[in-house]
Amino acid sequence: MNDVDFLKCKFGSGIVPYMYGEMSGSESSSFESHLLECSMCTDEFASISSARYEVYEWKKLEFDPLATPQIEIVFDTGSAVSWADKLRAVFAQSWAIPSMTAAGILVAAVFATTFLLSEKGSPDIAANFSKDAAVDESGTRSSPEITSTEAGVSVNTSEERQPQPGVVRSAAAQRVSQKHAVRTARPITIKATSAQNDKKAPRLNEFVEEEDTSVRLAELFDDIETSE
Amino acid sequence: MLTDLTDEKLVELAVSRNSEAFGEIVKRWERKIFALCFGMLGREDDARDAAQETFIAAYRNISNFRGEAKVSSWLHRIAVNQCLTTKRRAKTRSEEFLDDASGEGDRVFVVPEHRSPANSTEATERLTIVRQAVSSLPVDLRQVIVMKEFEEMTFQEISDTLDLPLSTVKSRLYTALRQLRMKLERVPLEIS
Repeated sequence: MNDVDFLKCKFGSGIVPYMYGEMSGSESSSFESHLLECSMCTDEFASISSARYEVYEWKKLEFDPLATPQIEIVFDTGSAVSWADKLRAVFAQSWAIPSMTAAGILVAAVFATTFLLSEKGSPDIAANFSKDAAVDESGTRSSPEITSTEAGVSVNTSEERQPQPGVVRSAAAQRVSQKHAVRTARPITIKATSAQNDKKAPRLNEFVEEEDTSVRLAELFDDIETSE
Repeated sequence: MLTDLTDEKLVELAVSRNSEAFGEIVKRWERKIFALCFGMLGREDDARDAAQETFIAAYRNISNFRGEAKVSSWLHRIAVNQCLTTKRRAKTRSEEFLDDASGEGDRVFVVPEHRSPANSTEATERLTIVRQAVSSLPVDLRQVIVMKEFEEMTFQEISDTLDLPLSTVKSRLYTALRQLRMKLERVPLEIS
């Protein structure tokens, strides 16, 4: 058969799809009708079918009788493990309990630290610290002593000023000095932590009224006028 | 010797009611006609029945053969007709059983007794030849034929797997089968 003549036939490309049954119904009917009319295509179809059958028979006789290999993959196909079993399995590890204990201690320490720091009160310095040295009962002015601690910088008053001779103090002045003595006896804690530095200024609606313990000049004059 | 005669000569003898001559024609073309029927019907048992019906029809109409075409082409056309008839029958019936008993008396052609399709040695040799022929194909052709015949993939699946156009897959399979045919034709595969 002349291959060139065969290739000219437009139905030639339908041989393989028709042979394998991958042709639509209408296309199959057209191809079948053509086979009845075209001996070239019929001969070519027979020739290709013959080659195809040889492969088919080879597969049937040599490959098909072969047993399918049993491929086994070991999966953990045990019964469904509950969360309790999983937890027990974790605790069964030698490192589990010490690790969890340490973790628990650490968490407790963090919570305790946070709690203690919050209990120590307001972090701002200016409300409790005054440049005007507090006056104690003896009339001495004590300048604050600043010491640094772990929680921050604490300011304690210390007595430096010696009582001035010749000064007659009125009762009001004494009351004021006592007040100041009380005020200044309280240690002033300055928190110099970074968290404190990042604290934002309180909003007006969040303003918390605190006791104003600073010395007021007006009070001094009031006392003096009263005494006079 | 009938084996030395051409197909046309055998047909002439068969026309004069020489059953052995027609038997020789059957022997020569049985496998290829069966392959053609298998290619059209896709099932071995249907192909076997269709091939049988083909030769029965050919013998009945042997006097109509005028020698204008090759004997093989004549047989091919008869086979195609039989296959189409089988297909039409299959469409109208749910199950089709070709009555092997019908017309047995008309089957006067005789297959030579020494012909033994079940000859294991010859079958083994043929399988070896086919295996070698397939192995000798270029890789791109071999993989298509293996995917189609062994893995029974559709053309679309092969196209997707190999990332090739559909037309290329069909073309490669056709080329592979043609090359295979040429390789196998060099080796006499007819059972004698």
